[in-house]
Amino acid sequence: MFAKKSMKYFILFCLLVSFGSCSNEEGESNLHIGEDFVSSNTKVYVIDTLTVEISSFQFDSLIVSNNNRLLIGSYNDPVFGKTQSKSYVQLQGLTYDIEDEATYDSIALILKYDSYFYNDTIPLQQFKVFEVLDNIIPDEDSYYNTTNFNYSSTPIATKNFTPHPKENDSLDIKVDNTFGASLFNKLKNNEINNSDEFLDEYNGLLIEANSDINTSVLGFSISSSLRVYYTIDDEVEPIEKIIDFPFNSANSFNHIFSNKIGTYFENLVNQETFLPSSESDNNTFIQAGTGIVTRIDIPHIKSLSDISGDGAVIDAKLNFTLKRVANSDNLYTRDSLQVYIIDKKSNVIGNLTSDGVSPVMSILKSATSEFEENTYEIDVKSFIELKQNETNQYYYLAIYPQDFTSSVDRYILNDNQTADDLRMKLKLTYVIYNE
Amino acid sequence: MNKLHIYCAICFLLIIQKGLSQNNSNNLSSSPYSLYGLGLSNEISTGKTNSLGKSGLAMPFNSSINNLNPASYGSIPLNSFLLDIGVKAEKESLSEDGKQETRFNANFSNVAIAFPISNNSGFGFTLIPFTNVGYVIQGIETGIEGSTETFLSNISGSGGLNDIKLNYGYSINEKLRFGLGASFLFGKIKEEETNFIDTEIININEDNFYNGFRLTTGFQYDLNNTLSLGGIVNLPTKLNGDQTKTVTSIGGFNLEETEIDIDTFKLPLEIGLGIHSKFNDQLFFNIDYKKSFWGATNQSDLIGDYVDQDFIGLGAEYTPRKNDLKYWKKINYRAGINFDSGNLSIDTNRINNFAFNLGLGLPIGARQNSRLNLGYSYGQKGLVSNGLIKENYHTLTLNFSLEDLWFVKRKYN
Repeated sequence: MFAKKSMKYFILFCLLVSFGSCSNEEGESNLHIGEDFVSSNTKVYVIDTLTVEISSFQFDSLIVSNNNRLLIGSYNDPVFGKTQSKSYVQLQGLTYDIEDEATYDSIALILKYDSYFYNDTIPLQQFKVFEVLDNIIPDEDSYYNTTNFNYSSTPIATKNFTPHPKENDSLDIKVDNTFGASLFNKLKNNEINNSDEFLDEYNGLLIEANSDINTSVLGFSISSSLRVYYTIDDEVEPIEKIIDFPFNSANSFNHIFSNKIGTYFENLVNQETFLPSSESDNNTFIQAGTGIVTRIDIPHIKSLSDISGDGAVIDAKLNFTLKRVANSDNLYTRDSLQVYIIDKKSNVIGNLTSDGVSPVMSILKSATSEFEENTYEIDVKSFIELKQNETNQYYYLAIYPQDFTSSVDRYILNDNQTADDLRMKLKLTYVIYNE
Repeated sequence: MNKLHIYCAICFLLIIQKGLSQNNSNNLSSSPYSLYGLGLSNEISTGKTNSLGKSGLAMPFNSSINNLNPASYGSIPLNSFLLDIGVKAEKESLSEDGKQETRFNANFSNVAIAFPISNNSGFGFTLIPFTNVGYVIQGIETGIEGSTETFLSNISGSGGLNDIKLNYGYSINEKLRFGLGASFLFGKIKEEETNFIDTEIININEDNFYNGFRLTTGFQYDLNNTLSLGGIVNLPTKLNGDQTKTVTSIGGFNLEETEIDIDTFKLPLEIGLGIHSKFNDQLFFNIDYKKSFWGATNQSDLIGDYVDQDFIGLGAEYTPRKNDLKYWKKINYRAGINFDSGNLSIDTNRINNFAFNLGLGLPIGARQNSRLNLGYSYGQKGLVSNGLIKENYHTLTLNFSLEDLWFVKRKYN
């Protein structure tokens, strides 16, 4: 056996070996020696030559049910033509009781501004209010921007005014007293005692603007109402009272349309007809309300797999600019646009999302007021990944404005054939991580 | 076997386990040169040879295990049982184009046992690192194709191959000994690459597993009492490799573990000749020359080709008086130098390696020849002037060489 003294050394030694093993590279963040002798096995490519095909199309219709905004008005645009919106509203009673001693005074439509307006508000506006003759019911559960109902030929109210959507809370439209008194008496005489009886008599109202004037489209809150004023005689002085008939948001909607004659959109007969940017002066178009959308196709994504090895797109950005001088303070644009995925027949598949949840927006990256140059950027990485899957090869991107069904904003985009600093660009970063 | 033997055995197993697991976490090297091939060849051996210019092909058994030549096992005296455990610590200063960095590593360096089988043959078992890989290189800049931009990568390597070697030595007569060694070489070399591309981080992890056998033969011949010759032949062999690769990224794409066969790595024929000259009980000299025929393997690495490698080692040991009562007189004083030309040629430049060594063999225990061998080496690899990395390194080795006498019944215990 080993002598005991040796043994002590030995055990000490073993402990040293067991615990002493280490390696320490001083300043681990700064070890550069040897970098000329080794190279990364990863290859990274920036690809900006993938074909992008851009076109415009118009949805056959947009579902406009349950919007909280009434859009009333019209504007003329050299590119988009005349765009109009009118609102069908159904009224609902809160109470059907009026005191026997009540005396009718007047009736008015109280439209509450919701701060939205598009185009110039300076010119005089004219609104007309008509009685709807049909029962306002949805067509297969929904109201579309194309839905129409019959209405009386003579208005029950006409209002000429200069709108102040920012300064004023509401627009009050005085309604014909014959209409008002008739309603008042039906309530007072208990001819109308409940909602059904009310809706039998009053289908609703249509509020429309005079489209002969190029003015603005104004947004009003759905929590507007028809208001009847009446008094009750008292010994000292009459007591003023009101009875409100609020708008029923479930059966109120905007009918939005444009006159496409003479515009690029004249031949867009359905949502499967596309107007390539090359046929519209290297521009594509977006308009909320009427359903005009820019479609982006990246048809040759499969060619990425021609690069040998296992690879992945780690970054993909689509940049585009708006056409110069196409915007003004009146026809303003916003800092972000929505991005959807659609199929070959322009049916919406869903939002473009980065992770399956958060929607990807088209974000205004830079704006120079001097040249009116607005550059938007869309992170299309997830779309590219989606499209790399064979079954999704006929998926496209559709760019929408915000409030697509409750506004009339419009945009003109430059395509990929315009001048270099303005053209639409797709830039991919592709990594080969296993050759 | 008594209790102490059992303790020894447990420690031994612990160290083996430690040695085998070294590839997973601890580096045995910090040299960027270890990124070539299977890593840096391990120079550290058992016993006293570390301080003798790594020489000892002709050196017979001399109270410690000589792993350089299996023929030396034929001269283990009957009743001896030897155990050798070593650690090393290394500090390296790297320079390249005005840049300077310091790195440090320490680890187990060997464990070996040897014992006689008969009065003219001996057997030994050694676990020793065969190659060492340990490098970290950061901020490697690579161009992005189709753009003027670049991305940065950090690349690190660790691991290495182990050598489990069985040695058998046989003395044909008083003067001539032959030896045979069989090595099982195995291990994992891990390369990790982290790429920072914009906001994406891609991590590529490659585990390369190699294994193979290698045979060694050797002889030692004592010309007379003062002069011995020794020689070895390491036969060429192929190491089979396979690789598991995984890729992960924060972007969510990843490569599931894939397994592929990788190129076999060829080890060349190596021959070595040595002279051991013993003047008296106080002083001996070793001279070794080895040549490794790497050129014949026709292998190349990323930026270099494998070329024939020469090794020269010189060493001397002086012991004032072996059996003196004064401790310092019993100490072995050692010195050596070693040079090798490296096996890689980068644009015709060689990564030469030169080192000088100093060592002490401190006796431990009164009756045995057990020693604690301390060694210090200072060396240099490569040159800055020819565009290579220059490494200056200080290596400390510590070998615990135990000799136990078996079956000797002491009169008093």
